[in-house]
Amino acid sequence: MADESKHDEQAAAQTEQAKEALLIGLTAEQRAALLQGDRVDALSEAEIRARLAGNDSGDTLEHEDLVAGMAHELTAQSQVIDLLSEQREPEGLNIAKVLDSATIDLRALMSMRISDRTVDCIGPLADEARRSRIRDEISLPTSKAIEMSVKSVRVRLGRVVITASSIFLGIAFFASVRTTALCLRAAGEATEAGEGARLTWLIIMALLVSVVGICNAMLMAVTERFREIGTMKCLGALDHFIVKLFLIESGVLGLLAGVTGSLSGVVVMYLVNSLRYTFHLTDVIAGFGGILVQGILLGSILSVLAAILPASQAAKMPAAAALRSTV
Amino acid sequence: MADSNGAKEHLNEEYIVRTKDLTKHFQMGDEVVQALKGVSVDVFRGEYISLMGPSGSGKSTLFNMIGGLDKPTEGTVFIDEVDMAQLDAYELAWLRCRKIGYIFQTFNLIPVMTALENVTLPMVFAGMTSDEQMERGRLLMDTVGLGHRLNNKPGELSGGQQQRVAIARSLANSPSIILADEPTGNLDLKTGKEIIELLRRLNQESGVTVISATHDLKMVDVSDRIIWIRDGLIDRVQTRSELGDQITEMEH
Repeated sequence: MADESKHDEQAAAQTEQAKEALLIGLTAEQRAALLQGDRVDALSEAEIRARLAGNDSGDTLEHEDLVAGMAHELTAQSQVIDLLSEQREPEGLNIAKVLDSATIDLRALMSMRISDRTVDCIGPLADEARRSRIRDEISLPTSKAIEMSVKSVRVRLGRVVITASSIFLGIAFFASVRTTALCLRAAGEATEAGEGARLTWLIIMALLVSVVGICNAMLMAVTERFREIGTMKCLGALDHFIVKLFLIESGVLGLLAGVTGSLSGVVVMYLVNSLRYTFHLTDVIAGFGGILVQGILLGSILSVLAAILPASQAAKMPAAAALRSTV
Repeated sequence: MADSNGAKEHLNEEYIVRTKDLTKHFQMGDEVVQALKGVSVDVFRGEYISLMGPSGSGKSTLFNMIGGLDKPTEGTVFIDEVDMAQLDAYELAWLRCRKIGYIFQTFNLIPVMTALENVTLPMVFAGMTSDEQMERGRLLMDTVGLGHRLNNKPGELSGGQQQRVAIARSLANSPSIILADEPTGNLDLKTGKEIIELLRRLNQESGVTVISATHDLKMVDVSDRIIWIRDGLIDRVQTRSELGDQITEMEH
């Protein structure tokens, strides 16, 4: 029973809100003309709507649009007010909690017309709103980051080739071992037992070495650009912009090394093996596709992994220290 | 400090930068070096301020504190009456991106980018569309007299031209403050003069506050106030008119 009465109360409150929402866009004169001396709670929602529809004296009031917008504003406002008054009583104002429980877009609310009643309550929220707005006002779109990284790779090509060569060699080794195994199987040659496991270990070692190599190269590249990093921070870059730029750069590098490394590994070992054994290209060509894909993926992923540490170290540096460095 | 003894009139008497009892210690091995020993400076909106002092006097440290590039050991910096220590990383980045423009002795352009790309980089961070970026970038490059060198890399520009690009970049998001750290330090006499004049012109035309750490006496001519720093303390503050005769003395 108690629940039912609560429901009724809520429903009544909602009707009142809806009625207010219908009227909120009107000027004082329009409102008076519309109500014709009646009180709002004496009229039903339908009645108000009917009066609004018949209201030609109200200039060019496109009330359907207006009503939709105002209704939203009103609900949002009363939600905040309710939450604030609930929160305020026992243990002061817990803004984070209010924000969590309010199902409203606070920024949208801030930009809306706010009634006097709300202003007092919303004051403390303004800080949060400002913070969240600021979060949106500083950004580095990924497309732009990719453009910048690719450009950086292109300009520093000579040095990039050296950096990439360690991952290139690792991937080429991986591809050639896999290709040889594939060709031997296609030619019907038996392989020693345990050979496969030994080769897997070799591949892992080779890739580890190339990861260490690229990590070292990235460390150098990052150190070389401390001043650039400091400058970017002065221009408003956040730490994660810097990390993003370096990771994309390293990813691009790994992709290039992966493509060239696995291609050359596959092609060279195919030629070598086709001289020694007899098998058909059609038997192995499908396997080559797999090796290429694996090589490219391995190359890019390992390369990005290797850059995480140097990039995040550099990004954490305070701007002043980064600018002071002379390398 | 607010006395307008022949200096620029501060119509709204509004502070843009205030520091209060700033101290900064650096740990150098076993020794603690006191770079700043309690510096309080007030700067009005639209002023042209020079921080003068010999190398090691602490002026660059003060400069870094005001620019939010380094944190003070004690004391507070207010930018637009907001305490910098209260800002989180995003707000600090926002401040650097939109409120403050930096100019360095070594220009610090990104070498792999063209002049125009360097100028538009802060606009990228501020989320401008590329059309807006291009338009504003060209406008700024025209303002600093380099409208014809948009697509040159910094390496293809002279020192003076690079510093002009850096000035254009510092203006990218219409900041309220320009912080210049020895802007003429790496330039010859004539080019240095041109850069100083450019800064002064921007200060007068757009009302941007200029704070410049320098030991270039040519700066004295255009500054509204000169703050002399010695041994991590403010030695004295002078308005331009007070200096008048002294400049000629010093230059000879």
